[in-house]
Amino acid sequence: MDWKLKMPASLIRRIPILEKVLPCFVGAILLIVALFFLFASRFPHPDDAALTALTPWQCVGGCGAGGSGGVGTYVKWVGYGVSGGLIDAEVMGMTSIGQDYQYQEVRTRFCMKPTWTSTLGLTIPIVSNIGNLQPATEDQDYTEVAAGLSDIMLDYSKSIGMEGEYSLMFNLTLPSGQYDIKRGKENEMQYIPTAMQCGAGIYNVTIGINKTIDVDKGLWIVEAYYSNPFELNFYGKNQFINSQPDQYNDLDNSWDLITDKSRFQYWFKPYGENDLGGYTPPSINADIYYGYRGVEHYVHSFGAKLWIPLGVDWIPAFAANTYDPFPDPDNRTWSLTLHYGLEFSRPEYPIYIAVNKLIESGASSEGKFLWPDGRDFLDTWTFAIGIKTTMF
Amino acid sequence: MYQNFVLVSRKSGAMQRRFTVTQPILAAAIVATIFCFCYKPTPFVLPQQPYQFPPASEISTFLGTTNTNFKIAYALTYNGPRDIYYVDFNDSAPAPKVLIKPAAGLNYDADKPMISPDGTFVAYGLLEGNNVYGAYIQKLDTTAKPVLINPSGTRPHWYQDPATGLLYLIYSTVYLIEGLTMDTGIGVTYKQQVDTGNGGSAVGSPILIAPYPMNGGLSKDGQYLCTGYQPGCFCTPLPTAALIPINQGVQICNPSIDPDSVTTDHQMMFLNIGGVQNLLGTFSTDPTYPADAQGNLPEHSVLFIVDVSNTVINFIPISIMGSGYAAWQCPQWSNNQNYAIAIAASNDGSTSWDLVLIKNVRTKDGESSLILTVGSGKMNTNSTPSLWIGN
Repeated sequence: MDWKLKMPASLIRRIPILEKVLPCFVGAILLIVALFFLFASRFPHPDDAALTALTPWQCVGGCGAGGSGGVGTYVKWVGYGVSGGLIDAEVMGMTSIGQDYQYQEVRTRFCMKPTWTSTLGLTIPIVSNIGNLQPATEDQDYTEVAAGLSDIMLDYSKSIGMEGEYSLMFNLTLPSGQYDIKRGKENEMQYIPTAMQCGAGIYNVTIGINKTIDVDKGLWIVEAYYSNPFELNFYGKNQFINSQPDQYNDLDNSWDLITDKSRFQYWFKPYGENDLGGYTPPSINADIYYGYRGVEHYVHSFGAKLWIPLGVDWIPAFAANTYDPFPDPDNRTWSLTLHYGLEFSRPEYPIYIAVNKLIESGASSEGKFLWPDGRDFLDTWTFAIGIKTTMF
Repeated sequence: MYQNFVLVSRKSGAMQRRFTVTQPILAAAIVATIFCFCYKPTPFVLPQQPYQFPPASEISTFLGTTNTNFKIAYALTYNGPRDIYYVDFNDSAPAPKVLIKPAAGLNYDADKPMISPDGTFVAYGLLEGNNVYGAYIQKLDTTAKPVLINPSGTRPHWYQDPATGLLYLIYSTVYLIEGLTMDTGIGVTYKQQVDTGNGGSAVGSPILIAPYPMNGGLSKDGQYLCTGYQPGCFCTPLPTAALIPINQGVQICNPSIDPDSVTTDHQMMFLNIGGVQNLLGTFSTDPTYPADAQGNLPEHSVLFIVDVSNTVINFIPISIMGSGYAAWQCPQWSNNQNYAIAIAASNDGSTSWDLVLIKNVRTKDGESSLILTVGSGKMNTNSTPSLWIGN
């Protein structure tokens, strides 16, 4: 197929604002980290160095989990990992398959320890999504491809508790991935579905707590997260509203007639509504894992991840020149992911392979809790392989 | 090496736990509750553009009718693909109403509506770009369902046989005719009998009446079809299918056939492309002809009415609208030979275009116009309006 590569409009749109964003962004990060420390200071502080010695499974969280929520492909690394250098690195490749899609992702993650008990990380995901689409019932279905940088993530975690058994986590996802990828003929372009886009077009803050429990030859990990998307606009107005082709010309023409402009004219939205009208609700995650280290040089892990969104996804209109968001007909109200992983606990370069089985609710744009759709029950899987190292 | 292989049970430590997870979980729950219930997305409804119609009595005077039995229809880009709107001036408060779109064509543009001879139905086509997605008829009623006449049809025109009174739809299979010559193989034109009873239906099978795509309709006496391409032409229906080129070598736009060829000779109305026109007559010496010294016309600056001998019967420059308008768009002869409807595009570079009723279209220097503003910024070059004047 001859796919026309379009300019990453959202990326271009965002690049000029980096100069303005950076001071605000750094300030916001510093403020959040300061608040985090302030919050953490309420808990007892044993000697940090001693605490580290008591927590040999520091990397069980894959150096800070989190993510943007949703039915993601995130696979947790459960094992010894490796640490000790100035910067730890992890590269994990993941492939998620279903009946009509194949999403691939390579996450490269760098993390360091500003203090003995804290971790600061940066995750750079590169995605390649292939899916079969039929935007409208009268349209012929076709296969679409989108690939590129996804939304990068910053995270910070700190071990707390008398034995360091707790870890508080803070994760910030930035909208670096393109979320307005469109295809089609000139003046008739359509956005590809949200799930196929490289990014979400919104920021997302995730806070969570993690507890590890040592048992004989093993380890339990229990985690809980809350993800809250939000949106910033450094222009103060939705930049898709203009007179360019395949943009929101109608809105531009009718701008003076719109009485409530709050969804288009804003600097900050405390909710995850992007400029195409796509909406990602807050969500909660609850995970549990068991790592078995009874076999020397190997760690087997088993787990389950429960994800529940606190609302219904809305998606943009397919027509690129139309602002008409609507509830996602493919909205899921919960998902449960079963996990098995195996770490080859090599001293310098541990390797990790994992398989996840995704079980998700039936689709409901009304937010109803439905049983899984049996038609694709056996077809949704995620496979992952990763490697870690440490340097400097 | 770097790896932490020293496994020490935390339980060997005797430190007392004083930390409780209740607080952060409670805080997260509160935050979740706040944000979850604070915002619910809602559909966005694009605000209606203001419309400004003269009083029906004023339009009635302009149209020379004794009542307000007249209607207009047009296609508008309002929020997404174009829809068909109509206005019935017999209503107590005439206002634009939108027709239900075919369920299979919600993402397509509705295009070039034509009001039926009795004023109760409209015919239109569905398009995606220049691709054809069917010719439809539909009752002028906001609850009426569209009726597909032919999935390969486009640019439908009504035709009522003066001898039998039977009602037909004339449609072609090609929306945009490209190329410098008209030839077989480009497309064809069909004549399909329709019945407007019970919501409308096709009667029998379509009849091939021309081996070319004729997009301007069939003359009242059934002797000529017309179309526009590069240039334009009249065409006699099959079996002769003789072509009569118009404005040879120069493109014409938006052709529509004379609605009353029974009482006058055969004519078509069209819009000029920029440049020197290849037409016969004395029109170019008229002081109101807006050409430069070399005879070049600005694009869409003139509505021409031309007969089958390629002679200009009349031309209507955009200047009759005054200084605020730069070009005509989408002219269409009404069901009354003396009147037409078109769009006048403003000259300020905006998309603020108005519907214009034009009177005395065949009388040089007798033309006059009346503006109907259906809403700024919504009309475009595919809004082709239709005017129906009742008895």
